Amino acid sequence: MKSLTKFIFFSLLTAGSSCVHKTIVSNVSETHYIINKNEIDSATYKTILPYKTTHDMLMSKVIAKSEDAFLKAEAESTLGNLFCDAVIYETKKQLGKDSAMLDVAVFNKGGLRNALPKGNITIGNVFELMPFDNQVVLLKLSGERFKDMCDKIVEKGGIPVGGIRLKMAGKSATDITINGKPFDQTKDYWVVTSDYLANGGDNYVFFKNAKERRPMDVLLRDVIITYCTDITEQGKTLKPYLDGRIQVSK
Amino acid sequence: MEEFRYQNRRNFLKYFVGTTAVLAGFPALSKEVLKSKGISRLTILYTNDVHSRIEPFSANDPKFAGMGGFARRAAVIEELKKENSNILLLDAGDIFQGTPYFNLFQGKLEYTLMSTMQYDATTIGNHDFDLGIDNLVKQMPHANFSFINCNYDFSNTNLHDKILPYKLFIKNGIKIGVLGYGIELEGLVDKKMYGETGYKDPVSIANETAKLLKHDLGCDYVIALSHLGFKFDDKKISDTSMAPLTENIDLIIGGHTHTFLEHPVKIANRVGKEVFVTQVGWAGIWLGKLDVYFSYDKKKISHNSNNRKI
Repeated sequence: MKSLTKFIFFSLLTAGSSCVHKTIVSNVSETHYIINKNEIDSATYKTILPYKTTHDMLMSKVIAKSEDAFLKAEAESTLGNLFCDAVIYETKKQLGKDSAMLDVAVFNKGGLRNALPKGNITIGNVFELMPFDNQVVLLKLSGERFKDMCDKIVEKGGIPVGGIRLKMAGKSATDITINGKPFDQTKDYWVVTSDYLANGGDNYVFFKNAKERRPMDVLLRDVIITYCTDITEQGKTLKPYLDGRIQVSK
Repeated sequence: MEEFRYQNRRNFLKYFVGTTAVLAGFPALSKEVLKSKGISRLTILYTNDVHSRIEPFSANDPKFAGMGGFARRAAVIEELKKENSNILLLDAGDIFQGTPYFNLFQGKLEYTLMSTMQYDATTIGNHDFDLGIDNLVKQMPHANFSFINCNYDFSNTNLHDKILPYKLFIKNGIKIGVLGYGIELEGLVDKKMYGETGYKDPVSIANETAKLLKHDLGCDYVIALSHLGFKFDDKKISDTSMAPLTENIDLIIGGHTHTFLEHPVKIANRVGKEVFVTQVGWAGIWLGKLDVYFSYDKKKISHNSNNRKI
């Protein structure tokens, strides 16, 4: 089964309710949530409980450890950097021998829905970061459209990006470099993004005029889950970082 | 989209020029004393952008550890009901999307729990379309509260007979009109999801609806459930830019921008009357609470805002 999310739903379908009875107890006792029984409405909690059992069974698996929290921010953010770099890493892996074609990753602030905590990162945390069933899409942009995109990044006061560095000077982007090389308006560039943005969502109109579009047939959320698993398999932990990829020109 | 934004104190003071005549000691008066003076109190409780936050945020959440949760909100609502039975419980949209509960159960649990909490009404937020119109239709049987919107044209969709433009509530003799409106969906929501839903400028249709409620239907108080957003840097219509263009609306309960407002902001409408704009962040971390006091002749005489942290 290609999609991890599909796999999770498959597990849900195949997990017989009787065989998870013991898990119910352990899941509830292992819950990470602070619940003071005196403060909650017990009837409401009872309604939630069977749903919570399924939820915890599928979502509480720890897939990575982080040394600190990954947060959203106005311009460059630790959460945005991780998200974009993870998507580039996994997409290049998927592209194999064609990996060099991919230049940059561009997403939107509103699409990253929650921070990642310090410590254990669970599948549930990734669902909260990326709850939408958005697919990964590659777009080939002309140099002109690519410049429009860079200006949009500035207009929005910085958004999550990877593979690119730029300075925000007034309303336009300057000192643009792509993987260390200066931006060349006569060249085409390949951008990895979501199908939502590729369709012009969040008013990313420059994506609608892409020269070529290649769907990667994988959910963005699954890409992040795979990245977390890969890093953990390599014996590494996730560490938040800022590298000045988006700077305010003084 | 400006998410997670707390209004800082300076911004907040810029709008909030005192909550007008909060009659000293009013909230402390007992039901009996209020009754003997012919005063009735309406308690408006509200949420917005709860985003499927069924359980509290996890203990290791960097921003909201342990906060929120439906079971705790239900307990607070129960407690407030003991204090005053004249309660309207409202929501300003984006009930759906944000935790795996939505991915797993498509909103059934959110609607079920809001029904047992006895919500009166909600409006439709952009994320309520996230699994499409047909999912909204599919989940609606789990909701025993009303869906209110007057600026989306659903006539060519399966929602055509399921959304009210407004609804009247009578609480202790006070007639309250509730209308609703939402943000432009094009460019924000995948067209596949909202289908043939049409968008109308909220200003004129909201004013028409509010006039109908106040003048033709004799409402004493008119509430708008808005999913436009509190404020934008560009010219996009928002609660703060729309309030001065309105008439006959007393309170705008907003959403979309996840703006935490300690108290409602007071804005003059187009005839110089005050309209309150409020919003309580997101995820059910706060429960908005606004007590409105009415005199024996049903005129609003005072109010008191006291949001609850959940």
